[in-house]
Amino acid sequence: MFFKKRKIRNNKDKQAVTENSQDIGQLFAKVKKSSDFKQFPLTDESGHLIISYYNTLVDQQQLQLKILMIFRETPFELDRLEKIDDIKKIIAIEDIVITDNRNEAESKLLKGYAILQMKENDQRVALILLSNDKAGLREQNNVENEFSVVGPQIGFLENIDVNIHLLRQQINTTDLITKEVNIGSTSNTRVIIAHIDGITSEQHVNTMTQRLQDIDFDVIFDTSQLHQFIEDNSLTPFPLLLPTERVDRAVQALINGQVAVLSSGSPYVITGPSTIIDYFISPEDYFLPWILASFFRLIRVFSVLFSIFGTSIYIAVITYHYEMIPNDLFGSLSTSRYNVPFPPVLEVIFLEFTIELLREAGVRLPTKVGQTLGIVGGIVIGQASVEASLTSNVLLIIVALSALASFTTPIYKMSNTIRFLRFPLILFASIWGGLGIVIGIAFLLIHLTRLESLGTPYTVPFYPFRPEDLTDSLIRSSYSKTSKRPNYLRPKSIWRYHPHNHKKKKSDFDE
Amino acid sequence: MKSLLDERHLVSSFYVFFLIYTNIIGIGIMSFQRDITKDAGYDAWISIILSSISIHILVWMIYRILGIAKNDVIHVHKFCFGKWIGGLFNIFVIFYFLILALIVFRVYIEVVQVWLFPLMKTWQISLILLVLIYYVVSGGFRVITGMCFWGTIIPFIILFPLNFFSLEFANFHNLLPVFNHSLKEIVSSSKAMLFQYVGFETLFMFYPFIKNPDRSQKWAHFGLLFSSLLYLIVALITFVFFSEGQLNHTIWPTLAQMKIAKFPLIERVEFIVVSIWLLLILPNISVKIWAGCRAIKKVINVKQRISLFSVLVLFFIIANVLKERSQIERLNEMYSNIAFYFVYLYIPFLFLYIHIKHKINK
Repeated sequence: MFFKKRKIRNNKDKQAVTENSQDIGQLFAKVKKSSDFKQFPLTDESGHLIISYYNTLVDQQQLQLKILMIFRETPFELDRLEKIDDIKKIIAIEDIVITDNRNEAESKLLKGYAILQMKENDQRVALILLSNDKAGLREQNNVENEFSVVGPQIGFLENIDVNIHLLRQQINTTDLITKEVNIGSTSNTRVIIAHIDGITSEQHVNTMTQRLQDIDFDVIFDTSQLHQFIEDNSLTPFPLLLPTERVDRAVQALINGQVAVLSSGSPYVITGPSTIIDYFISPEDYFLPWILASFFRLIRVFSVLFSIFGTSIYIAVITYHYEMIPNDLFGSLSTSRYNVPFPPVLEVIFLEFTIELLREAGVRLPTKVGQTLGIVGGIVIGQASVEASLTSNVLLIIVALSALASFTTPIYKMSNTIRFLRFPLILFASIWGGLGIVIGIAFLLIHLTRLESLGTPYTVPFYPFRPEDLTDSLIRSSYSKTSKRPNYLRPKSIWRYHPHNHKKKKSDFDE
Repeated sequence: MKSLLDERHLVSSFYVFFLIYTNIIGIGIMSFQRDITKDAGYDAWISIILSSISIHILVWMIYRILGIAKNDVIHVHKFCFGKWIGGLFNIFVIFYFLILALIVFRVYIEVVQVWLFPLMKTWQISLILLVLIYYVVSGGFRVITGMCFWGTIIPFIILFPLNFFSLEFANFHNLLPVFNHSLKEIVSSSKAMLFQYVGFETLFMFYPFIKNPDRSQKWAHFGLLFSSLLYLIVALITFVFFSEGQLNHTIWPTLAQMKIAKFPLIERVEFIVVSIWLLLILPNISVKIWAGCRAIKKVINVKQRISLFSVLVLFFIIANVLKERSQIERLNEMYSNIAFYFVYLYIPFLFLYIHIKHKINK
């Protein structure tokens, strides 16, 4: 509460400052300090028709073709331009704003507009869009981190307009509403909240907009930053909103009634409210037959469970509950640990740490080197540490498998969470054995139950239990069953499409 | 009916099933067989059914009482007996819930010490459990209900099937002859069984937290039915597995019969059973502590955060002071007597009293 109040006061201060300096002249005095700022008269008459712009922000070609050509090449009749408002008739550019507001002039100038004045010190100016917003951005938009074998490979880009274009191509209706907010006191980043009118619940849109507007920060680099500001609870390792770089995934979220947030300069779109099961859904699931898709989804969930609990169960069993190991298995387990001088905990922490090290190094290194490092690190270090009897064979298998299993989640942020969750469980297991693991599970369950994403419970549809929403959760049912939007998103219209419901007559085999 | 609380804090009537189930199936299901067979022998399964029926009637009464008041029992007491005498009853209610939670808490620690870690100090395990309980209860009623949900589903799926492994060594003749005991013996065994059902009275406190409370009654009865069926099945399996003489020497028959299960990768499943059991014990204790703290708040207007913390500190101290099994058993016995009178005398009395008072006020 205290912080909120302070923020409001800050805003008031800002307004007070800006009201004092309404003058355009002052703006020019300030921007002239930069070397890339240009200001000159368009005609030979000095002090008349002055154009000012940031040379690095505008498109030089447009400037020449659309403005300089008119005023310089043919003899220009000045009487065609009596007032500044007439400029729209002369220059063939769509976005021209006439204003006497200094703040608007400043913000537009920084977005690549040129300022045109009739006379020096004129307060009323024309702002002409000449911006070159494609410069410096990458062109190629292949999906890189959320790869799928089947299905489209189109991802989002740093250019927000292209991203909206990609969304509009798929959601080809006027109901797709984009709302723009500018965030960041220094970067003034364009952030767009997209939702589908008539489907998305107003409440989600309002919450999202409200939270975004409340952000007070200087530079917004990426949506993942916004994510941290607007999530319901920052004291959690779990991502509460879903970041994605895949267009199909964002479209799917919007169509289901979620809200998407795009930010200029970020190839990731965050969608919410999300639930824990969303992080185990791969877009590929929708392109495969539903039986296969469901099977793979279940494998994903089990592998994540294995990844979280694998090593801690090893510790619990080897340290405290060796009675649990059947006789036949005991022999091979004990021979593999025969020469290892450490307690299981140290052994596990050593190997887990190695794997984390490889992973972290693999991310930082260039792709080609990274692959070799993975193989060298994984095989050589693993084998060597077993031969040096620092760890046991069995543990090496468990750790390697659980590292592999943590990558099966389609969302990178979730696999980071899973990486992290292992360590507290290792600690619990080393202190209280099996009971410790269950204490860890209990902590996790309570934590998950307490979490909310934009006010929607995180563990829905399991708790609060909604059987009708289970059709697309652990199992991806066939398309005839998933025709309704999930209820927990409180969509305004429940039907996504109407499947053909001709009931099959139960006929006998050959009739 | 308009609810007194913000919609955000309410749970739908469906969850009453899980709340009732976790409140009943607590620590008792590990050890109830020996207590009920003391009098009625292997006819005790009849007393399970009898006591279950009586509890059904009591739940019906509770719904009638609360349906009139449309609020919790604290309000009912103030309405019926005025501020001072009602306040006295309310303080009794607070202790009633908290001591019940304490017994469950202490007995679970004992189970852990006997079956898992004989050398573990009480303060270690109680400390971590209390931190867990604090985390649940401070999340509010919705989170507690969530834990009831998980605490029903996960242990049930994992543990219930383990009971059936002992059927390999079953001797069904143990159950015969049926009706070999007098009615008096069966009734006194039902009285012992009653204590296993104690905990359903928390309904008195969480009633206003249910959306459409009038519609939740069927779920309450269903939860009760489900738990008594579970008791019945577990008891029958125990009866065919143990002989009567053997059962007399077994403190935790349920654990002992689950131990029989063997898998290619795992032996000695009791380690898993006792650990997973925590998921059921945790909401069981939490609901009772929550009910106690909620009652404290309504009686003397102390913030729940403060009262919860002090209650947990008290729990920590008392759990460490009660060292001997005999002390725990004495507390248990004393409490089950109080619970018997509370449930069988006080609830019907309140039921009659509120109806009369309600009529007069009209």
